[in-house]
Amino acid sequence: MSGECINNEDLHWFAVRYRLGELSEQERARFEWELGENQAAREALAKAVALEAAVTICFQKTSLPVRNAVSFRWAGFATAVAVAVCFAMLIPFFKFDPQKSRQVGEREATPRLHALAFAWTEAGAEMADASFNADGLSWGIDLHWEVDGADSSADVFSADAANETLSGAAFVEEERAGDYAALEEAAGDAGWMLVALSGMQTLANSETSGSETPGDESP
Amino acid sequence: MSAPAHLVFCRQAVDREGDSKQINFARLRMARSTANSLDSDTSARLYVEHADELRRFLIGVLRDAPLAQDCVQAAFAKLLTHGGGVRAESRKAWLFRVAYHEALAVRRRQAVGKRVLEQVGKDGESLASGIQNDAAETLVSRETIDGVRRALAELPQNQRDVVRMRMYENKTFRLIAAELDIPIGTALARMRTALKKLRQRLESE
Repeated sequence: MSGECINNEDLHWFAVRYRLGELSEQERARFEWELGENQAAREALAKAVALEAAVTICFQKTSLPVRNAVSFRWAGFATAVAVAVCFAMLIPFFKFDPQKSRQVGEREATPRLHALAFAWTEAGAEMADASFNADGLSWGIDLHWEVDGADSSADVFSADAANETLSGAAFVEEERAGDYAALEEAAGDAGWMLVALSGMQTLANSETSGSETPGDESP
Repeated sequence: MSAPAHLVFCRQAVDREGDSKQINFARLRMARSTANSLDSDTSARLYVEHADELRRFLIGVLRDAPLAQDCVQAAFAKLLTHGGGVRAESRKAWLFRVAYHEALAVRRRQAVGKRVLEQVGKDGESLASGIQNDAAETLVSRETIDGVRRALAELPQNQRDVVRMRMYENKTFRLIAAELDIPIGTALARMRTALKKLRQRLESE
Protein backbone atom coordinates (compact mmCIF):
# COMPACT_ATOMS: atom_id res chain seq x y z
CA MET A 1 0.00 0.00 0.00
CA SER A 2 0.99 3.65 -0.28
CA GLY A 3 4.13 4.58 1.64
CA GLU A 4 3.03 8.14 2.00
CA CYS A 5 1.81 8.53 5.55
CA ILE A 6 -1.17 10.64 6.42
CA ASN A 7 -0.08 13.65 8.42
CA ASN A 8 -1.05 13.81 12.03
CA GLU A 9 -3.82 16.39 11.61
CA ASP A 10 -5.41 14.47 8.81
CA LEU A 11 -5.12 11.27 10.79
CA HIS A 12 -7.84 12.40 13.21
CA TRP A 13 -10.13 13.46 10.37
CA PHE A 14 -9.50 10.18 8.61
CA ALA A 15 -10.17 8.32 11.85
CA VAL A 16 -13.54 10.02 12.37
CA ARG A 17 -14.60 9.42 8.79
CA TYR A 18 -13.40 5.83 8.98
CA ARG A 19 -15.47 5.38 12.11
CA LEU A 20 -18.50 6.96 10.44
CA GLY A 21 -18.02 4.90 7.27
CA GLU A 22 -17.51 8.00 5.14
CA LEU A 23 -14.22 6.99 3.47
CA SER A 24 -14.03 5.88 -0.13
CA GLU A 25 -12.67 2.41 -0.83
CA GLN A 26 -9.24 3.78 -1.63
CA GLU A 27 -9.16 6.03 1.43
CA ARG A 28 -10.31 3.15 3.61
CA ALA A 29 -7.56 0.86 2.37
CA ARG A 30 -5.00 3.61 2.90
CA PHE A 31 -6.16 4.25 6.46
CA GLU A 32 -6.23 0.56 7.33
CA TRP A 33 -2.66 0.30 6.14
CA GLU A 34 -1.88 3.16 8.50
CA LEU A 35 -3.60 1.30 11.31
CA GLY A 36 -1.27 -1.64 10.76
CA GLU A 37 1.88 0.49 10.71
CA ASN A 38 1.27 3.64 12.69
CA GLN A 39 0.45 3.73 16.40
CA ALA A 40 -0.68 7.36 16.02
CA ALA A 41 -3.37 6.23 13.58
CA ARG A 42 -4.56 3.56 16.00
CA GLU A 43 -4.73 6.02 18.85
CA ALA A 44 -6.52 8.51 16.63
CA LEU A 45 -9.17 5.89 15.91
CA ALA A 46 -9.56 5.18 19.63
CA LYS A 47 -10.05 8.92 20.26
CA ALA A 48 -12.59 9.13 17.46
CA VAL A 49 -14.61 6.33 19.05
CA ALA A 50 -14.47 8.04 22.44
CA LEU A 51 -15.50 11.38 20.98
CA GLU A 52 -18.42 9.84 19.13
CA ALA A 53 -19.59 8.10 22.29
CA ALA A 54 -19.36 11.30 24.34
CA VAL A 55 -21.18 13.38 21.70
CA THR A 56 -23.92 10.76 21.46
CA ILE A 57 -24.43 10.80 25.21
CA CYS A 58 -24.48 14.60 25.34
CA PHE A 59 -27.12 14.95 22.65
CA GLN A 60 -29.07 12.00 23.99
CA LYS A 61 -29.39 13.41 27.48
CA THR A 62 -29.88 17.07 26.80
CA SER A 63 -32.19 17.30 23.82
CA LEU A 64 -35.81 16.57 23.05
CA PRO A 65 -37.18 16.61 19.51
CA VAL A 66 -39.31 19.70 19.07
CA ARG A 67 -42.22 17.66 17.76
CA ASN A 68 -42.37 15.52 20.86
CA ALA A 69 -42.16 18.52 23.13
CA VAL A 70 -45.13 20.20 21.43
CA SER A 71 -47.17 17.00 21.55
CA PHE A 72 -46.42 16.60 25.18
CA ARG A 73 -47.67 20.11 25.97
CA TRP A 74 -50.89 19.61 24.03
CA ALA A 75 -51.42 16.22 25.62
CA GLY A 76 -50.97 17.71 29.06
CA PHE A 77 -53.35 20.56 28.27
CA ALA A 78 -55.96 18.21 26.85
CA THR A 79 -55.71 15.98 29.88
CA ALA A 80 -56.13 18.92 32.23
CA VAL A 81 -59.19 20.12 30.32
CA ALA A 82 -60.73 16.64 30.33
CA VAL A 83 -60.22 16.30 34.08
CA ALA A 84 -61.72 19.73 34.66
CA VAL A 85 -64.77 18.90 32.54
CA CYS A 86 -65.31 15.62 34.34
CA PHE A 87 -65.02 17.36 37.67
CA ALA A 88 -67.44 20.04 36.57
CA MET A 89 -69.92 17.40 35.47
CA LEU A 90 -69.72 15.70 38.84
CA ILE A 91 -70.16 18.86 40.92
CA PRO A 92 -73.97 19.05 40.53
CA PHE A 93 -74.31 15.56 41.89
CA PHE A 94 -72.46 16.49 45.02
CA LYS A 95 -74.74 19.39 45.65
CA PHE A 96 -77.59 18.39 47.85
CA ASP A 97 -80.67 20.48 47.69
CA PRO A 98 -83.17 19.36 50.30
CA GLN A 99 -85.87 21.48 48.74
CA LYS A 100 -85.41 19.88 45.36
CA SER A 101 -85.29 16.41 46.83
CA ARG A 102 -88.52 17.04 48.63
CA GLN A 103 -90.10 18.20 45.41
CA VAL A 104 -88.96 15.08 43.63
CA GLY A 105 -90.50 12.99 46.34
CA GLU A 106 -93.74 14.88 46.25
CA ARG A 107 -94.17 14.38 42.54
CA GLU A 108 -94.33 10.63 42.91
CA ALA A 109 -97.71 9.11 43.27
CA THR A 110 -96.94 6.38 45.79
CA PRO A 111 -97.07 7.19 49.48
CA ARG A 112 -94.09 4.95 50.13
CA LEU A 113 -91.88 6.98 47.85
CA HIS A 114 -93.10 10.16 49.48
CA ALA A 115 -92.12 8.77 52.84
CA LEU A 116 -88.75 7.79 51.54
CA ALA A 117 -88.03 11.23 50.19
CA PHE A 118 -89.07 12.73 53.51
CA ALA A 119 -86.77 10.41 55.38
CA TRP A 120 -83.99 11.17 52.97
CA THR A 121 -84.15 14.90 53.36
CA GLU A 122 -84.46 14.65 57.09
CA ALA A 123 -81.48 12.32 57.41
CA GLY A 124 -78.81 14.60 55.87
CA ALA A 125 -77.00 15.74 52.79
CA GLU A 126 -74.25 13.07 52.29
CA MET A 127 -75.02 11.22 49.09
CA ALA A 128 -71.58 9.99 48.15
CA ASP A 129 -71.98 6.30 48.65
CA ALA A 130 -75.49 5.25 47.97
CA SER A 131 -77.38 4.33 44.89
CA PHE A 132 -80.98 3.51 44.20
CA ASN A 133 -81.94 0.68 42.04
CA ALA A 134 -84.43 1.87 39.44
CA ASP A 135 -86.67 -1.13 39.74
CA GLY A 136 -87.28 -0.20 43.33
CA LEU A 137 -86.64 -3.65 44.66
CA SER A 138 -83.44 -3.06 46.43
CA TRP A 139 -81.03 -0.57 47.79
CA GLY A 140 -77.37 -0.98 47.23
CA ILE A 141 -74.51 0.61 49.09
CA ASP A 142 -72.07 1.58 46.38
CA LEU A 143 -68.78 3.39 46.63
CA HIS A 144 -69.34 5.19 43.30
CA TRP A 145 -72.03 7.81 43.03
CA GLU A 146 -74.29 6.95 40.12
CA VAL A 147 -75.80 9.77 38.12
CA ASP A 148 -79.16 8.13 37.81
CA GLY A 149 -79.45 7.46 41.50
CA ALA A 150 -80.64 10.90 42.56
CA ASP A 151 -83.55 11.18 40.21
CA SER A 152 -84.50 7.61 39.77
CA SER A 153 -87.89 6.71 40.99
CA ALA A 154 -89.51 3.46 41.77
CA ASP A 155 -93.05 2.30 41.84
CA VAL A 156 -92.47 -0.13 44.63
CA PHE A 157 -90.13 0.00 47.51
CA SER A 158 -89.64 -2.94 49.71
CA ALA A 159 -88.00 -2.54 53.07
CA ASP A 160 -87.54 -6.25 53.32
CA ALA A 161 -85.75 -6.32 50.03
CA ALA A 162 -83.59 -3.51 51.27
CA ASN A 163 -82.67 -5.46 54.35
CA GLU A 164 -81.58 -8.37 52.25
CA THR A 165 -79.52 -6.24 49.93
CA LEU A 166 -77.69 -4.13 52.43
CA SER A 167 -74.68 -5.98 53.58
CA GLY A 168 -73.25 -6.17 57.02
CA ALA A 169 -74.39 -8.04 60.04
CA ALA A 170 -74.10 -4.83 62.05
CA PHE A 171 -76.94 -3.28 60.11
CA VAL A 172 -79.23 -6.21 60.74
CA GLU A 173 -78.37 -6.34 64.40
CA GLU A 174 -78.67 -2.62 64.96
CA GLU A 175 -81.90 -2.31 63.01
CA ARG A 176 -83.46 -4.97 65.19
CA ALA A 177 -82.33 -3.02 68.23
CA GLY A 178 -84.02 0.06 66.70
CA ASP A 179 -81.34 2.45 67.89
CA TYR A 180 -80.71 5.36 65.51
CA ALA A 181 -77.38 6.26 67.04
CA ALA A 182 -76.17 2.70 67.02
CA LEU A 183 -77.19 2.36 63.39
CA GLU A 184 -75.13 5.34 62.40
CA GLU A 185 -72.15 4.25 64.38
CA ALA A 186 -72.21 0.73 63.01
CA ALA A 187 -72.61 1.65 59.36
CA GLY A 188 -70.16 4.53 59.35
CA ASP A 189 -70.40 6.62 56.21
CA ALA A 190 -73.57 4.95 55.06
CA GLY A 191 -75.18 5.57 58.40
CA TRP A 192 -77.42 8.35 57.19
CA MET A 193 -78.99 6.05 54.61
CA LEU A 194 -79.52 3.32 57.14
CA VAL A 195 -81.08 5.84 59.48
CA ALA A 196 -83.38 6.91 56.67
CA LEU A 197 -84.33 3.35 55.90
CA SER A 198 -84.93 2.62 59.51
CA GLY A 199 -87.06 5.71 59.73
CA MET A 200 -88.99 4.63 56.71
CA GLN A 201 -89.55 1.21 58.19
CA THR A 202 -90.86 2.93 61.27
CA LEU A 203 -93.24 4.98 59.16
CA ALA A 204 -94.37 1.86 57.37
CA ASN A 205 -95.02 0.16 60.67
CA SER A 206 -96.93 3.15 61.92
CA GLU A 207 -99.15 3.08 58.86
CA THR A 208 -100.11 -0.50 59.41
CA SER A 209 -100.46 -0.28 63.17
CA GLY A 210 -101.98 3.17 63.34
CA SER A 211 -99.24 4.53 65.54
CA GLU A 212 -97.99 8.02 64.77
CA THR A 213 -94.98 7.99 66.90
CA PRO A 214 -91.78 7.46 65.02
CA GLY A 215 -89.14 5.67 66.88
CA ASP A 216 -91.25 2.91 68.30
CA GLU A 217 -89.28 0.30 66.49
CA SER A 218 -89.88 -3.25 67.35
CA PRO A 219 -86.86 -5.52 67.48
CA MET B 1 10.07 -26.09 32.62
CA SER B 2 6.50 -27.11 31.94
CA ALA B 3 3.52 -24.97 32.67
CA PRO B 4 0.07 -26.07 33.74
CA ALA B 5 -2.34 -26.71 30.91
CA HIS B 6 -4.68 -23.97 32.16
CA LEU B 7 -3.68 -20.85 33.92
CA VAL B 8 -6.16 -18.53 35.57
CA PHE B 9 -5.32 -14.97 36.52
CA CYS B 10 -7.44 -12.92 38.78
CA ARG B 11 -5.88 -9.75 40.05
CA GLN B 12 -6.97 -6.69 41.91
CA ALA B 13 -5.57 -3.51 40.44
CA VAL B 14 -6.18 0.16 40.90
CA ASP B 15 -7.10 2.23 37.93
CA ARG B 16 -6.31 5.87 37.62
CA GLU B 17 -9.50 6.93 39.36
CA GLY B 18 -8.55 4.94 42.37
CA ASP B 19 -11.39 2.45 42.15
CA SER B 20 -10.51 -1.15 42.39
CA LYS B 21 -10.95 -3.08 39.23
CA GLN B 22 -11.20 -6.78 38.99
CA ILE B 23 -9.04 -8.10 36.25
CA ASN B 24 -10.02 -11.47 35.05
CA PHE B 25 -7.87 -13.00 32.43
CA ALA B 26 -10.17 -16.03 32.28
CA ARG B 27 -8.53 -19.32 31.36
CA LEU B 28 -5.37 -19.31 29.32
CA ARG B 29 -4.14 -22.50 27.77
CA MET B 30 -0.36 -22.76 27.88
CA ALA B 31 1.33 -25.63 26.19
CA ARG B 32 4.66 -24.67 27.71
CA SER B 33 6.30 -21.64 29.18
CA THR B 34 8.69 -19.77 26.96
CA ALA B 35 11.42 -17.29 27.47
CA ASN B 36 9.12 -14.70 25.94
CA SER B 37 6.49 -14.94 28.64
CA LEU B 38 5.66 -11.75 30.44
CA ASP B 39 5.14 -11.79 34.17
CA SER B 40 1.57 -11.44 35.36
CA ASP B 41 2.19 -8.30 37.41
CA THR B 42 3.42 -6.40 34.36
CA SER B 43 0.58 -7.78 32.28
CA ALA B 44 -1.95 -6.63 34.87
CA ARG B 45 -0.45 -3.14 34.94
CA LEU B 46 -0.53 -2.92 31.16
CA TYR B 47 -4.14 -4.10 31.20
CA VAL B 48 -5.16 -1.31 33.56
CA GLU B 49 -3.32 1.28 31.50
CA HIS B 50 -4.36 0.32 28.00
CA ALA B 51 -7.39 -2.00 27.98
CA ASP B 52 -9.99 0.79 27.68
CA GLU B 53 -8.21 2.59 24.88
CA LEU B 54 -7.54 -0.71 23.13
CA ARG B 55 -11.21 -1.62 23.36
CA ARG B 56 -12.24 1.73 21.84
CA PHE B 57 -9.78 1.20 19.01
CA LEU B 58 -11.13 -2.29 18.31
CA ILE B 59 -14.73 -1.02 18.36
CA GLY B 60 -13.67 1.43 15.69
CA VAL B 61 -12.36 -1.45 13.58
CA LEU B 62 -14.99 -4.10 14.29
CA ARG B 63 -18.09 -1.97 15.14
CA ASP B 64 -19.05 -4.64 17.63
CA ALA B 65 -18.43 -4.23 21.36
CA PRO B 66 -18.49 -7.94 22.37
CA LEU B 67 -16.14 -8.91 19.53
CA ALA B 68 -13.88 -6.02 20.48
CA GLN B 69 -13.71 -7.28 24.06
CA ASP B 70 -12.84 -10.77 22.83
CA CYS B 71 -10.00 -9.34 20.81
CA VAL B 72 -8.76 -7.41 23.84
CA GLN B 73 -8.60 -10.64 25.79
CA ALA B 74 -6.85 -12.42 22.94
CA ALA B 75 -4.29 -9.62 22.66
CA PHE B 76 -3.46 -9.73 26.35
CA ALA B 77 -3.25 -13.50 26.22
CA LYS B 78 -0.60 -13.18 23.55
CA LEU B 79 1.12 -10.50 25.60
CA LEU B 80 1.38 -12.97 28.44
CA THR B 81 2.86 -15.69 26.28
CA HIS B 82 5.00 -13.64 23.94
CA GLY B 83 5.32 -10.16 25.40
CA GLY B 84 8.46 -10.83 27.39
CA GLY B 85 10.68 -10.19 24.39
CA VAL B 86 9.16 -6.77 23.64
CA ARG B 87 10.85 -3.64 24.88
CA ALA B 88 8.90 -1.88 27.59
CA GLU B 89 8.49 1.37 25.61
CA SER B 90 7.13 -0.56 22.65
CA ARG B 91 4.67 -2.77 24.45
CA LYS B 92 1.69 -0.48 23.92
CA ALA B 93 2.28 -0.29 20.17
CA TRP B 94 2.93 -4.04 20.07
CA LEU B 95 -0.30 -4.68 21.92
CA PHE B 96 -2.32 -2.49 19.55
CA ARG B 97 -0.76 -4.08 16.50
CA VAL B 98 -1.48 -7.58 17.75
CA ALA B 99 -5.05 -6.57 18.58
CA TYR B 100 -5.49 -5.04 15.13
CA HIS B 101 -4.38 -8.21 13.37
CA GLU B 102 -6.66 -10.20 15.65
CA ALA B 103 -9.55 -7.90 14.64
CA LEU B 104 -8.76 -8.33 10.95
CA ALA B 105 -8.83 -12.11 11.42
CA VAL B 106 -12.23 -11.79 13.11
CA ARG B 107 -13.49 -9.69 10.23
CA ARG B 108 -12.33 -12.25 7.71
CA ARG B 109 -14.08 -15.00 9.63
CA GLN B 110 -17.23 -12.86 9.77
CA ALA B 111 -17.09 -12.31 6.03
CA VAL B 112 -16.77 -16.04 5.44
CA GLY B 113 -19.64 -16.74 7.78
CA LYS B 114 -21.79 -14.15 6.08
CA ARG B 115 -21.13 -15.71 2.69
CA VAL B 116 -22.04 -19.13 4.06
CA LEU B 117 -25.30 -17.80 5.47
CA GLU B 118 -26.14 -16.13 2.19
CA GLN B 119 -25.54 -19.37 0.36
CA VAL B 120 -27.94 -21.26 2.56
CA GLY B 121 -30.51 -18.56 2.16
CA LYS B 122 -30.49 -17.15 5.66
CA ASP B 123 -30.32 -13.52 6.68
CA GLY B 124 -26.69 -12.51 6.28
CA GLU B 125 -26.85 -9.13 7.93
CA SER B 126 -23.98 -8.34 10.15
CA LEU B 127 -24.51 -8.41 13.84
CA ALA B 128 -22.38 -5.34 14.23
CA SER B 129 -24.27 -2.13 14.67
CA GLY B 130 -21.71 0.21 16.07
CA ILE B 131 -22.05 1.79 19.42
CA GLN B 132 -25.38 1.12 21.03
CA ASN B 133 -26.68 3.91 23.18
CA ASP B 134 -26.52 1.87 26.32
CA ALA B 135 -22.90 0.83 25.60
CA ALA B 136 -21.69 4.35 24.84
CA GLU B 137 -21.50 5.24 28.49
CA THR B 138 -19.03 2.41 29.12
CA LEU B 139 -16.54 3.85 26.65
CA VAL B 140 -15.94 7.25 28.17
CA SER B 141 -15.57 8.66 31.61
CA ARG B 142 -17.90 11.17 33.22
CA GLU B 143 -15.21 13.81 32.99
CA THR B 144 -14.89 13.30 29.25
CA ILE B 145 -18.65 13.61 28.79
CA ASP B 146 -18.74 16.82 30.82
CA GLY B 147 -15.84 18.23 28.83
CA VAL B 148 -17.48 17.41 25.52
CA ARG B 149 -20.73 18.95 26.70
CA ARG B 150 -18.97 22.21 27.55
CA ALA B 151 -17.09 22.15 24.26
CA LEU B 152 -20.30 21.54 22.31
CA ALA B 153 -21.92 24.51 24.00
CA GLU B 154 -19.06 26.71 22.85
CA LEU B 155 -19.37 25.69 19.21
CA PRO B 156 -21.13 27.97 16.74
CA GLN B 157 -24.69 26.84 16.08
CA ASN B 158 -24.01 25.85 12.46
CA GLN B 159 -21.13 23.59 13.48
CA ARG B 160 -23.08 22.10 16.37
CA ASP B 161 -25.97 21.31 14.02
CA VAL B 162 -23.71 19.39 11.64
CA VAL B 163 -22.12 17.43 14.51
CA ARG B 164 -25.51 16.56 15.90
CA MET B 165 -26.97 15.55 12.56
CA ARG B 166 -24.00 13.37 11.66
CA MET B 167 -23.03 11.76 14.96
CA TYR B 168 -26.31 11.63 16.83
CA GLU B 169 -28.92 11.47 14.10
CA ASN B 170 -26.61 9.41 11.85
CA LYS B 171 -27.43 11.29 8.65
CA THR B 172 -25.01 11.22 5.76
CA PHE B 173 -23.15 14.38 4.81
CA ARG B 174 -25.06 14.43 1.55
CA LEU B 175 -28.39 14.48 3.40
CA ILE B 176 -27.12 17.08 5.88
CA ALA B 177 -26.04 19.34 3.03
CA ALA B 178 -29.46 18.97 1.42
CA GLU B 179 -31.36 19.74 4.62
CA LEU B 180 -29.24 22.73 5.53
CA ASP B 181 -29.13 23.89 1.93
CA ILE B 182 -25.35 24.10 1.88
CA PRO B 183 -22.71 22.51 -0.35
CA ILE B 184 -21.49 19.13 0.84
CA GLY B 185 -17.96 20.54 1.12
CA THR B 186 -19.25 23.17 3.55
CA ALA B 187 -20.88 20.48 5.65
CA LEU B 188 -17.62 18.50 5.75
CA ALA B 189 -15.63 21.62 6.60
CA ARG B 190 -17.94 22.54 9.48
CA MET B 191 -17.73 19.01 10.81
CA ARG B 192 -13.95 18.93 10.59
CA THR B 193 -13.57 22.32 12.30
CA ALA B 194 -15.97 21.34 15.06
CA LEU B 195 -14.23 18.03 15.71
CA LYS B 196 -10.86 19.73 15.83
CA LYS B 197 -12.14 22.15 18.47
CA LEU B 198 -13.70 19.31 20.46
CA ARG B 199 -10.52 17.25 20.35
CA GLN B 200 -8.30 20.16 21.31
CA ARG B 201 -10.62 21.00 24.19
CA LEU B 202 -10.51 17.43 25.44
CA GLU B 203 -6.73 17.20 25.18
CA SER B 204 -6.31 20.43 27.09
CA GLU B 205 -8.42 19.25 30.03
